[in-house]
Amino acid sequence: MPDLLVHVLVPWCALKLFQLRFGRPSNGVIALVLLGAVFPDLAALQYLGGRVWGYHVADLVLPLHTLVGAALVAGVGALWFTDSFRAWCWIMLGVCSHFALDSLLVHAAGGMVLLFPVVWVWDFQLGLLKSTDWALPVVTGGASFLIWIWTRRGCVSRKT
Amino acid sequence: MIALLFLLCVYSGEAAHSHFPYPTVRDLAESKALYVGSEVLVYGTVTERDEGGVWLSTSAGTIRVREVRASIGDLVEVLGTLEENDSLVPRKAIVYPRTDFYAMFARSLVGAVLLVLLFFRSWKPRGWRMVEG
Repeated sequence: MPDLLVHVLVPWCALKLFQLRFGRPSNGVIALVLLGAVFPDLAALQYLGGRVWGYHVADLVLPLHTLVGAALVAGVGALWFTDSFRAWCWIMLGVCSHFALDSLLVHAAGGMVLLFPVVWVWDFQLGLLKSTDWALPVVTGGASFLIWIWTRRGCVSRKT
Repeated sequence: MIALLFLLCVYSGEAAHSHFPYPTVRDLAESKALYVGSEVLVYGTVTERDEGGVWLSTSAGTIRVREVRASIGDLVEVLGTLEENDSLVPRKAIVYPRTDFYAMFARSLVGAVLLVLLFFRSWKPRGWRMVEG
């Protein structure tokens, strides 16, 4: 996984630019997308290691980092919102952004098993970045800062 | 949905390891001899190094990986052929510098805090529901 900071900032930048240009989506919708963008990394529970009911934790939490598993988690999360289906759709947009970013990563072998439980193919990776690389966090951090400054300027100029 | 998710997790716990394309340190922990000559995926921390490679500490014991340059404490993920004497000839190796590895978790913590701040700026809990505003 790239770190959560990248997973949060990339969709935030994209949607803020969209919002600046077209006036939509609302900040609430952006927050839902950001929520979805971190859901698949619930699978990071694997770092706790060990076994539960005789199964390795890494194997047990693997579905959380697949499309079907993340869609189910998003479905449970969406129940807390008044318009659950609409919330689920926006959360799933965040989930898709998560997998798009994770597909940039390089692994010695394996990668994402995106089509679980239908097909056990582990090779969804483009092999462009290591998860520890600084390039992506620095670029997205810089871009986010510039967009934040831009939005603040917009707020100030609207008030005056 | 929760029941379906639970079933998927149990199914994955049962089947994931057998579907992984390469033996891993978990298999090597049971019997290294069985996998000599096979391609295996190993993940571990560098404990020693010399000009010929590094020694990795894994849950299957110490494994020597040839032709890899890394510092002590770095994490290394290697796909390679296991030879006798617990030595591995790598086909593909990824080195994660120790400081960068921990920095990744630190950045994730910042990301999580940022998410909580951004989320609760736009959504407020009202009873069992989240309401925009």
